[in-house]
Amino acid sequence: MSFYMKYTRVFKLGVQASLEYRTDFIFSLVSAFFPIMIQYYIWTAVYGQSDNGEFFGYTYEEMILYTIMAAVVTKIVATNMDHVIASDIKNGSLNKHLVQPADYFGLKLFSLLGQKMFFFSVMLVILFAVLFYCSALYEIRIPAANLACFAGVLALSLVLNFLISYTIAAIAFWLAEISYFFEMTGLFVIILSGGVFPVEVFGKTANAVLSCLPFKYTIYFPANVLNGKLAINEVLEGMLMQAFWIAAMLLVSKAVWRIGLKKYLGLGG
Amino acid sequence: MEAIRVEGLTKDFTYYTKEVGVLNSLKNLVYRKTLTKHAVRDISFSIGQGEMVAFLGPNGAGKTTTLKMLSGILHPTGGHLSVLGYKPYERKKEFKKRFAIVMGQKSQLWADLPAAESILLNRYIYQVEEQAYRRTLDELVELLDVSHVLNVQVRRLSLGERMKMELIAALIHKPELLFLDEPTIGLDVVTQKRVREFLAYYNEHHRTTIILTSHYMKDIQDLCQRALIINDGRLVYDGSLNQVNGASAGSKIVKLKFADYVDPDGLGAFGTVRQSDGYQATLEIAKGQINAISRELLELFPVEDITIEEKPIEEVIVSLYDRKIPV
Repeated sequence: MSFYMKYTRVFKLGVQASLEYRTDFIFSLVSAFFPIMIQYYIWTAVYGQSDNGEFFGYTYEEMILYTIMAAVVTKIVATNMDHVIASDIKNGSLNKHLVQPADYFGLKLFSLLGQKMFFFSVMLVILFAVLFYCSALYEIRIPAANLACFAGVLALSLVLNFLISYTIAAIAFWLAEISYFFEMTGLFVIILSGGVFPVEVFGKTANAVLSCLPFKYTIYFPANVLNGKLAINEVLEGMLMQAFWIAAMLLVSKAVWRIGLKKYLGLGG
Repeated sequence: MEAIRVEGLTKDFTYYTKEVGVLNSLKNLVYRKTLTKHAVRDISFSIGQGEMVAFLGPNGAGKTTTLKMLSGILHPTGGHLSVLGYKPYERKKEFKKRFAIVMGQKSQLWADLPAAESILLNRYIYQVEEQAYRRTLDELVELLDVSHVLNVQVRRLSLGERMKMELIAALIHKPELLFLDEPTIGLDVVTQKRVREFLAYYNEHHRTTIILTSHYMKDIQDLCQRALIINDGRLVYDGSLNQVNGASAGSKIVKLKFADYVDPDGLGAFGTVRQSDGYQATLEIAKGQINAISRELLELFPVEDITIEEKPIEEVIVSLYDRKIPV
């Protein structure tokens, strides 16, 4: 029997489990709407007060479109996995994985992908519907090549975000009180990733720093792919960066987990 | 053949304490005194293949810690440890495929899906061939009589049904060695009995080595010929449960029923009075004196009925818990 079959199996289980939470998913969709409204009014006020047609390199229409795209992308890629994994560590559910001949990382990743699969598809449809409506409304033309790349970009974002969550979750090996920690890091990561504002808003210095970090490749980058702000060569370049960060975070997370597990197993430290 | 061999096994944990009060909380922010808890101290035993052995001991005695070291969840601080020929803490894949652990208070099933799904997932994780899987599943489902709930969401199952599913999920790859941590905790008497019967049958027919911890003495009396009693991290008894009574080297319980009122104070001379209301009395009497004293009692008092019993095994074990001297 193939070694990988357990991962396809856990993927399918993820799909089934997610269908048990349809209502929850609808609520999460509705909840995405409120921050969008707030930002819509803020940006409308900001742009209305000024003769300047552009802020941070975004026209009013582009900014609104970014806000909507970023909110929806956030809903797709934000996984809440840090919470789930950290409580596995805290309450001892990790034990059952340690005694099974299967990789915890692989099982979690594939069950997440499975859980996201259904919503991923639904969100894509919603996203494109919104996009076509808005682009017609604001007369922004989005290159067809960008649209074609988007699904790939989004999938890479999801994996990258999982790796970031997986790494952060390892904090639970050391910290006893974790619930607010993840509340904090969760929001912080979303802000750094450009889930609230485009990262240009933070200024040049912060931007230079953020360019050396993986976060903006999870939300800021995919949102701008759809926004039409990036040319096709920039999109491909971004995808390469995503791939690079996925590889890098894979190494970082493995290292952090190795140290954390040593402590968990009671090996010194 | 030996399934488990343990020599001088030791596990220490470090922890912190905090005195009562806000001030001490603040003090702890700056400086914390590190203390060491010796959870398991220098334990040695070996368990043969196909044996069914109970780990007994009060809460915090080190039973679960020992079980965790045997299954590779915890790394021992010291000592030698060999399980099925492997060092568990190396957590080799081949080793993991040959044992299973069921923790009564932790579920390994997906709560939102029917147990059948989790069991099937285990089939893939343990890479069980289709035919063997079918055969094992059918056998287990029939033995535990759960075919009607196999396709019900786990969170809708009763505790007893869930426990049976946990057992099926753990046994689907036919492990040679099974660890059970409190398998009957919280179950009603009928289900407990059912689970016990199942374990006894399974142990006998598959020659699976089973190690279980439990607080229910019935579990252990029915199932295990051998018990390891752990207290305060030390092994205080290793042997057959029938001989536990001998180990306590103690006394028997004599129950008396009187036809007339008997002053309880008058009974104290014959043994320790455990309970007495004038018409009924329970005495604890040293084994050597039983015959002589019962004769005296029958002569001196209006005894209607007399029974002589062994001390309940719970009590004997509690007295062993108090022993701090290792065997």
